[in-house]
Amino acid sequence: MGLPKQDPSFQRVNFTLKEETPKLKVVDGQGQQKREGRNSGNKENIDNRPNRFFYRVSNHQELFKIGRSFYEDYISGVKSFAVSSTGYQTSQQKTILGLASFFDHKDDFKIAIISDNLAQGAFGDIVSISKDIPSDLFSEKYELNIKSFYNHFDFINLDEILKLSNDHELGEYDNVFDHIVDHYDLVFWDVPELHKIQLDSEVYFPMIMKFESISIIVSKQITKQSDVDELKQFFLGYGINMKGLLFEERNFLEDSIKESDNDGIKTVKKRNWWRRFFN
Amino acid sequence: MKKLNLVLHETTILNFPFMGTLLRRYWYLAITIPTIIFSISIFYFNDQNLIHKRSIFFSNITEDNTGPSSVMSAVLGDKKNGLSETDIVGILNSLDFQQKFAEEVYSHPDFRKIDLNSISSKEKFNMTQFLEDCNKDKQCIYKKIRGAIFSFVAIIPDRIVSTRFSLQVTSRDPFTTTFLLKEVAKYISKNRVDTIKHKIEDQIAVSKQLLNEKKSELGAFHIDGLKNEKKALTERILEVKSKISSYNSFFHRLKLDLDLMETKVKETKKATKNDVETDKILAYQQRKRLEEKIRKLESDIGAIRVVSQDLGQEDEQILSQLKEELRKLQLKLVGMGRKGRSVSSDVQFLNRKEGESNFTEFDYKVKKEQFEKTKKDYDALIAHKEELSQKVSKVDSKIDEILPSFEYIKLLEEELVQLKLMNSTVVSDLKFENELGPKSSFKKLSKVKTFLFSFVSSLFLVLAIVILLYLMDDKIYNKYELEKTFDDLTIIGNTPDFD
Repeated sequence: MGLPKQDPSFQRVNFTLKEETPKLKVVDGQGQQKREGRNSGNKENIDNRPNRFFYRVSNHQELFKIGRSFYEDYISGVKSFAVSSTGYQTSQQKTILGLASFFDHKDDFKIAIISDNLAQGAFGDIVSISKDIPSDLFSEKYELNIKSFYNHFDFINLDEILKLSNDHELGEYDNVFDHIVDHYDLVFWDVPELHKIQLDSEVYFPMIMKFESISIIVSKQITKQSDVDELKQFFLGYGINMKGLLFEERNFLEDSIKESDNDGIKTVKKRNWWRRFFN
Repeated sequence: MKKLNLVLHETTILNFPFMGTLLRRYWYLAITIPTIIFSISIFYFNDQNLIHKRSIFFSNITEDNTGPSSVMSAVLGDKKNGLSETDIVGILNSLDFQQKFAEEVYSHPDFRKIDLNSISSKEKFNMTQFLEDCNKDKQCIYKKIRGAIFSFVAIIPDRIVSTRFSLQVTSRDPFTTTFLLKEVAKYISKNRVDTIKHKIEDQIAVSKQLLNEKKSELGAFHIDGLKNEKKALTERILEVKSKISSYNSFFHRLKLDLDLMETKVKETKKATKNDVETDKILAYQQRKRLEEKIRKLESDIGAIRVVSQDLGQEDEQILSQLKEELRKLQLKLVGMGRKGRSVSSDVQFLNRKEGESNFTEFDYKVKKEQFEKTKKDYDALIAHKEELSQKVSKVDSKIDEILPSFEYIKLLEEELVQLKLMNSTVVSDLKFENELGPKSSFKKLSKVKTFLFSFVSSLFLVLAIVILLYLMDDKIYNKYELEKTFDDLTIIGNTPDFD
């Protein structure tokens, strides 16, 4: 994920959702051009932006299915999507990245990904190669560190937003969140773990209030029914629309095992038949 | 509850596809439990004693219902006294039988060679050790022997032929099996002969007692005298009946005559009592005179016509005067009508009856006297006949009263003879075949049964444990379970996976 391609000539956003071999390619290009094009309305500039990075999704049909579901919600007016789980940050991040890529492919959306864990997990690699962009959300005094991944998505640190929202000089309690949600076409919230929110609920409350839809990731053989119920009840208690459940089938008991050989090339080795049968 | 709904199915009770999923999920149990159960079963199977079984067939010959006579007897409701299937199967349960057999087998020279340990016992059998608890107490020894032996022996009815049975002996020692089979078969036959003889002897005793009682009861009666008396009375009745019959016809004839005479006398008296009136007599005399005159005139006129063919005037005048007078007389007679006509017969009848009257009354009196005498005799005969009939019926009732007892005595005497004959020729009603059945050896729980038991118990245990684990397991394993568990939420899809 987030591997730099060797050929720099790939400078287009190339989603191959409809290809027979499903491969989602998010190709890096001149992100600045996209931003400029978006701001100036120059369509030609957007189409010609160069791409350098390539994302590959193995279950492409599933991404298309869930992406379409979220897209229908977007069409009906929902723009702030929260993704939660019972402690699987990586799964949350992967899902958000997949959805953001889907929306990015669909149209020229301004997409924000807000997480308190940008340096680790699935975001880690992408954020590390993302560029800092000047924040024009607030005044210069209250600067927000935004990292743009080649103008496809903007990564915002949740902790920074929470800090800003506690600054009384900035205005009302949830002004910061209003600004962010208003500024972007789509906002994906990488929801922190439930116990964190419960410990400091007054801090996280304005964030929760901005969720227009929440999806919970259920991990195969790991997630417990009682945990999902707790999570569901918690958010339903705030009156947040429960979009549904996302099922994560691949974990440490996944069907195929990746192995690296001496040359560093990853190969896929099929699990023994009996292990597949008894799983 | 939602989890239980997943396990259950509305048609097949258990959701078998899901059971398959659970078995694959808890595969270690699905392998371990059957392995343990099959291992235990194999060990148990191998550890079992080899059981030796042998049998001999026998038939209940008194209950052979295949012949036509027995079928007809059954239709007519005749009950046979032979052993029923239950009786035969239960022979071995009789404590008397077991006790006597134990006594007999104890005295057998081969008794010490037999193995009386139970089929499942693993220990080596030692007869001395087996009997040492009893301290040579015979009753205790017999009790122990019968307890051990009769757990090996059984009588099994044949499935097809209702009168056929098999005596089966199963023990862990082949010699014991054959020995017991022969001895028990022999003893059953002997026991049956003894039982039948005992039964017949009892019947003979009872029949004799009954016969004596009946004979003493009927000692006061002489049935032959009663029969002779009845015969004599019947003959006398026949005679009286014959007399009554002849008296009856004479009496009826006499009665008719008497009735006729009575009427005659009555009518004569009545006629003589009624006098003829004078007017009637005068009219009668006048009619008589007129009739005489007319007759004379007619003869005169006829004579004149006959004498002269050519009448003169004078003659003519006379003739016409005569005719005129005849005409006048005729008119007068006609003018009288029926007056004086019947008086003539009345007068004649009266004159005649006055002459007969005295004879008729006399005859009537004679007849009446005769009739009364005859009637008296007839009534006496009837009464005598009634008396004789009553005597006959009394004799009859006496005979009827004692006749069954006589018949009963006759039957008892016949029965006694038959019983004595039967007692001297009695044979066993259970006929054993000469050849013993083949020897067979097997284990108590067969291979197939062991396998089936292991299979079923493994399946049951695995399913039960797997379902229990599933119900206690809070984790979610697949999308199907997720959908069923959170049926109020939409399952959007799978999370994207990046290579």
